[in-house]
Amino acid sequence: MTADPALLSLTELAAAIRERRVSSVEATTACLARIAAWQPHINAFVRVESDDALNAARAADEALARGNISGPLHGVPLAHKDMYYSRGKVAGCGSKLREGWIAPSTSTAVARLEAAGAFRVGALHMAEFAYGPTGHNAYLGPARNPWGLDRVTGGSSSGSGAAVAARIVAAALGSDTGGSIRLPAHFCGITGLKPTYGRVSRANAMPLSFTLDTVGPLARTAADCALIMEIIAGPDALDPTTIGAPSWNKAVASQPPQGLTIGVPSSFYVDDLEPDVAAALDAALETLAKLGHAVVKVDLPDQTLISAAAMVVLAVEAAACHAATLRERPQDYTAQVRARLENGLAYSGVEYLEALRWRGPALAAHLGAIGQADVILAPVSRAVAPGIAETDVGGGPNAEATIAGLTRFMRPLNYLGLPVMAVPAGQSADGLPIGVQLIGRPFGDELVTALGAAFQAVTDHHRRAPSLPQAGG
Amino acid sequence: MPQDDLPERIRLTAEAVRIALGDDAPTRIARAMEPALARLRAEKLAIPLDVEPSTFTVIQRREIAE
Repeated sequence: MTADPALLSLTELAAAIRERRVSSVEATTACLARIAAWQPHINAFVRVESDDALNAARAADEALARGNISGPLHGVPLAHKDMYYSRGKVAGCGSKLREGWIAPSTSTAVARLEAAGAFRVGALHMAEFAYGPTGHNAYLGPARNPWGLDRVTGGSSSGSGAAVAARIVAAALGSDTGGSIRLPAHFCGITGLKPTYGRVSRANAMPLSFTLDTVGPLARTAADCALIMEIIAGPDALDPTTIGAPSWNKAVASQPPQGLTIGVPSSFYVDDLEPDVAAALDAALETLAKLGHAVVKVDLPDQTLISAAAMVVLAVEAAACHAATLRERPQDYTAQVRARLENGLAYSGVEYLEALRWRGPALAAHLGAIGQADVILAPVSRAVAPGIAETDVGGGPNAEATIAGLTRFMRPLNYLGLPVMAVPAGQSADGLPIGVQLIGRPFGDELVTALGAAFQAVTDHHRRAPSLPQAGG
Repeated sequence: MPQDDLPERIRLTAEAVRIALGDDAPTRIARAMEPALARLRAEKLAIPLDVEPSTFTVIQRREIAE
């Protein structure tokens, strides 16, 4: 019997429930208790569905008593970013515009998790329409980082980062269009996987940019991410980008990889790093070398050019997604997100399509530059989690520049559609988490996950957990 | 080199797609988004005629073709 089921990783919790060492009701009750304790401090949840969750837990326990197991997540309580539709339930998408909006269908990713036995305990905080990298939301109030309540969580999967870090849920779905899984993973000290574009169905999840959006997990470990990916990855007739994509290869993901070539960028990703981030990156490289992998320098194509193309694509697609509501209800957006959406009006159709047409050649150039490298190691961000106040609207003349600096190592990888695992790799002098990116080749999701697991087998950064603040703290 | 007519182009685009902008919005948007345009213009990308957006998928999937 485990003392506190909430402290188990997803893999451990699923096994404990399956083997009847922990009941689903016990796991759910522990989860709800941690929501009650943490929520006033971190604002990770936008809705808690205690009754529905406990009913689902009781049903799971009864089924298990009869010998019926739904799947690998039987009886496991989870929560997801509030942009994954569940038929008949509210999907708020972090916006007043979706207040009370009832989803008419269930997202494929959530449906697959439910078919595997999981259920949700509520819905998680997010940036308005996933269009913000910090965790600010003027409509919901900011999510707060469990490692420092005055710090941002990162976004846009802000609640997913905070809730998993605070050990409220063992895993959560996030989405990543320009870093929205990886930045919360980095700032909150957890593990996140941005899959290859087209690997996981986006059907019935709120879109931001059709070309760049990806659906993936945030969890405590790489093995936990693998468990989620095994369930959600693969073709879905409702999302044409996944047609022909391979299902998850569990054998590759669960074996420690041998003799890989790890590429280290010679520029851009190593520029202007905070000393603690640079030290964590160096230490991670040393660890990977000790695991027996070869390290080579790689000269990547100009990442500022890739970022510029990504910015054009994102801005235009986001504006197009929201054009109808920008016409009809512009006042119901928060000022910052409305301004970001309006930015898409800066580009012509020709400029947008040129940026889109260049994506293939840019990927070909990337693959040519990395040669035989299996994985590229890079920081997630140049810095640890900044303060909420300094990155808020009106946070000073440098707020936007600060935000841009935090996100610049991620956006190029969405444009290239590459799989990236963010793993905890250190901490700053004041105890804030630091993550690194393991960047794979297209459809190399299993390999970066296996490498993340191998890294976590010999490091303990992912085991650190934040302490519950004292009352009033 | 800044594109001096960008704010006016933004104003006309907004008008064409019937999205109401505040008076100072075209200038703000131009200031925020011009650097990406300038970066792409400076590169003088010469994309072959037969490259289309889905060429990306073709290149991406070569990795799993073998």
